[in-house]
Amino acid sequence: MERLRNESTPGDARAAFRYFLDSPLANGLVRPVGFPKSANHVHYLPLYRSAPLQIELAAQAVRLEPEADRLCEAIKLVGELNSSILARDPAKTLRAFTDYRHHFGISLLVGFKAIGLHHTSETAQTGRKPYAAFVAPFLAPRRQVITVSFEDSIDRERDYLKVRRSFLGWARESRLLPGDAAAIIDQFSPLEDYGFDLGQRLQAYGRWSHLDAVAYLHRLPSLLERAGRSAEIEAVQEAIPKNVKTTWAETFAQIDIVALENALGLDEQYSDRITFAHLPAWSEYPQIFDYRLRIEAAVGPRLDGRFPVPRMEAAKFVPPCTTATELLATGPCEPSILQKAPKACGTFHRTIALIASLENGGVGSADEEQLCMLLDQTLDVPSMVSREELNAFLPRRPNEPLYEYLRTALLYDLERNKVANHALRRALQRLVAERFEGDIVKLLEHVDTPNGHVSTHLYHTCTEAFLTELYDLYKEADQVTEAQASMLEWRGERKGDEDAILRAKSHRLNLRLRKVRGTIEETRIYVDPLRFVEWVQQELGADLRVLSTQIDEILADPDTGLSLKDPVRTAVVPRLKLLKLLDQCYAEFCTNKIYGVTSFIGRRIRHGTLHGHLVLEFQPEVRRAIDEFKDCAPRFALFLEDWLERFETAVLQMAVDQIHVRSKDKPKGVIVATLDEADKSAVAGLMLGEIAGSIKESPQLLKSVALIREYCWLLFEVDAKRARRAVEALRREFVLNPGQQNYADRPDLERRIREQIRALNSAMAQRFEVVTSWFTRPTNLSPSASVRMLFEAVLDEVRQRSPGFAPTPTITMPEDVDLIGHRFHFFYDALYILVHNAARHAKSDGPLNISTSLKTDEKHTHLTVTVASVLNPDTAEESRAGIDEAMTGEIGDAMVNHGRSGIRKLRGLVDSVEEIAGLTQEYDEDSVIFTIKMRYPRS
Amino acid sequence: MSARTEPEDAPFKILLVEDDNFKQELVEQALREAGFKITLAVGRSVQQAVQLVRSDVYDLIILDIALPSHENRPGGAQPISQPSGGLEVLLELSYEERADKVVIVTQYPEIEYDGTMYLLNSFQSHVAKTISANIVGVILFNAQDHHWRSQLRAILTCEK
Repeated sequence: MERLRNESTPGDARAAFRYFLDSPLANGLVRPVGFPKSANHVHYLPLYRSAPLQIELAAQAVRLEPEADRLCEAIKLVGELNSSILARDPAKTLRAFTDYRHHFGISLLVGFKAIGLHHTSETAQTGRKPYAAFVAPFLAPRRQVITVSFEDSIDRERDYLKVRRSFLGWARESRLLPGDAAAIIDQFSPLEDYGFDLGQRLQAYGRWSHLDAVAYLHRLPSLLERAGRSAEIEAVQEAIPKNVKTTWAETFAQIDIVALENALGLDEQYSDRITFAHLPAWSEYPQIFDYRLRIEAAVGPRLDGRFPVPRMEAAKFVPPCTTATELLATGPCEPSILQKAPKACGTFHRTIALIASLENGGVGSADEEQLCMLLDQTLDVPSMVSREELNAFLPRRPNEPLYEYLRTALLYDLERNKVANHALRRALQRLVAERFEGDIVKLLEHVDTPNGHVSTHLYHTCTEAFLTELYDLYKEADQVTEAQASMLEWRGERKGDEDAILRAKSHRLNLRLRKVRGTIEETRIYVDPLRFVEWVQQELGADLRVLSTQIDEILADPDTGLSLKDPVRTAVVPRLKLLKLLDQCYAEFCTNKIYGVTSFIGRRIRHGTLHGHLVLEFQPEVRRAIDEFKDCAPRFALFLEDWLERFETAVLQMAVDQIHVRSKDKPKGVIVATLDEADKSAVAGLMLGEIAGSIKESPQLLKSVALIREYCWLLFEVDAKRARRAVEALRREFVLNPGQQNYADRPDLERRIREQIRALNSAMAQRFEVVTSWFTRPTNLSPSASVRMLFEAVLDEVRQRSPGFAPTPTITMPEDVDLIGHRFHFFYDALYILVHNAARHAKSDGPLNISTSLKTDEKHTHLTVTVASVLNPDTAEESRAGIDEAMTGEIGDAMVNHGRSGIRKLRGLVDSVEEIAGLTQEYDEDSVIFTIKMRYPRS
Repeated sequence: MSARTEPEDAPFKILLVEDDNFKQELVEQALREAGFKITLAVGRSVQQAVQLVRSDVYDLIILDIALPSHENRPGGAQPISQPSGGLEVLLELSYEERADKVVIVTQYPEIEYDGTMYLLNSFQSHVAKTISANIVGVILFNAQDHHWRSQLRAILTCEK
């Protein structure tokens, strides 16, 4: 076949292809399916090597000719489909999709449209995926990489440039099947060769369906013209059956671009770029394809990440400017792909205008506020220019701190390394210290605009790890947490992000609880949230998205088993597939050598530190005791010598055997990097349910991925406990215990020995306590507090705020319980309201009785808290009236009006917060008794 | 964080960045045994180390790599554990174009830089491509043998 394609004339090839198509003798050949019902056929079709375009045209012509009439019907139906999409008529759209599927099977062109509709702003917000059935053939039984690449490129949570560059990279590096590679290269970068010529691309589309072949045949003339091969256009025209050509031209003559943009969601901030990413699904319209080609000609290599760029032709799309002012919008913009004027266009076009300007001599010397505005109105600048271009555009200006911050931020985005990160931190700290009184939120407010591009960038840059390393601004860890809370509050107010507000509260409460505890909290474990979340999104995001189509099945699955040991069931049952993905997440969380748990236990605990802390630092104390007793009680000195030797050996052995992630080599490792073990089943079950619910609730994966991270910390608690138990077992094993044996003849000496043993045991216990604390979760990332601790913190705060309040508190608690997660501050809030209420209405020095009872079921811990106080006799009547009214009246605006009764607010919490299940109140003679019922997931 | 001067004059000014007490004591002991007159400043966290680097110039910086971000204090927030926190000192020196000599003394046989783990003997050449800090040695610290002591002594002798 290869020889036929390369050595025959087009005429001979046409005859041969016709023979292959018609002759019963050629039945053994695998032939493309013109109107396939599924995507399976593609994998059985080879992609032949490069051959003259004329030969490929002959092959397609022979195939299309007999199907011309049917193709015309298919084209008309696509026309109807397009009209209904543009008219935003879901019922008609659904009907058109169904009709097409029924009569003509599947095609990439129609499949892309269905995928595109999954990612319009409307479906992104509602999570509805009404066209899932038309995407399904591309997802099962195997996922088609061509559709995955398109879906990822339009996914609003993904970076278009990263997706484009990744898939192009894989295609060029032969990591994809040649047929997929050819189509993917054409989909993203139609003007670049990248190892697949036009004939192979036509062949690749022809393998999919007749419609896709015809669509590409209609795009070919523009490509040939740009390649200086206009002479071949006629042959292309001849390869398309006449009636197909006519129907195509009539059906796809014009498109209402504004209607298309509206259908895709023009309200988005980066809508011109979002629209651009969607356009492979709409390239049957000449003006759409022409627009794509003009963009590709102007900045295609830059979009592909090819630096130095092979050509500087951005000015062919939009004329360059000479000053920054010319590029800046002066009023409302029209972010349509039709609008190219820099002062009125969208961010994507303005970015191309900036690049055109940089290619043609730059935009002069923009001042720092102009630069800030320019970056606010463009996007991905550091990904679209080379380091040399960026340095030429933005030379160092040490006397302009805002400019320097923006410059270093761009350089860091261009090359994410430690040096660039450090330079950015230095510039940012200087700016915040010099201009904004050390308050990073003031900088956020300063750079914030309705676009919010620069402020959002800053907000996302300032992760906990990044803020921690602003060592000039934050000299203590508390200040880092304060800054983080303030930024979250800003975000919450700016974006109406309730989760951010909740986390800010949680951080502040944590700070308060630590002060109440007053202890040193040292953990040596950390998992960089940013890197971990990036890993989940990159490695498992696509699989999670696929499972989102089966989420109802997962949630309805009555099975509660959590075993992953059966590989067949794990590969087939959707619920177990999700569980397997979560298991992979936890394995990564534990085992990543750079940012995972294993990295921290290796570098911060196992190598030397455990031995140093437990043995080397303790050794002098033991040696002093040995010296003290070696003459007067030599048997005791020998006992200590022997003990010290055994202890050292055991500590070293523990480091070698146990302070590891469990593996074949380390079977005693205390960290078990899977959720498939009995101790983790409760948390794993909750994790599975909550994450499935979260995927169902929102197609945006960010929330689900954040939940995965939080649950990984809860799972880790099981491993951390195992590590702490191992440490405790070692301590118990080496508690100095002379038993009944006497080491001295004299009672006074024996007493001294006993005292020495007590002192050594006590010192050792303190050392072990420190080691135990190394194996705890970082409280910022995974906060927790015991109920008793929360009571004490509440009493402390109410006392501070109500100076005369000096009750006699009695806390009756049969069993304490740890509440874990960012939402336990709701419990704090509820308790605060009741105790504060007692401070307002009760006798200031009277009894305050707090009692709790605890019940647990399979999923939840149910906590009932009763707060009883004696009303102040002088104001009892008034207090009763106030309490009664608050308990029965309208809740109204109590949740937002801080001047209103706390009890109303608490009733509001009962309504709105899942964890607060009920509130009741009663009187008992002169006492008022409040009872709240809380419900927390078991962990 | 502390700074103290040895009793005699003409001291060799050293910054020791180390959070583990036992290691700090052993390194200090090794310095004393080497017989040099020294002024020693000690930073126990990355934040303290950065502050000390900003506030003075040193003849030698003895640098641990795995450190907490900040000093831990009762009732305070937890510092973040940083397996490569000591690199911040190198970045500071490089940024400020300083020539203070640095010897890395670490208990872990590898150092992570920009997402790659480097064996100690190759770390210096890799990091030199992007950071201009004056690293004069990288030593694997093992409290159970004395090899690190002789290595440190040799460096001190050479650099003095």
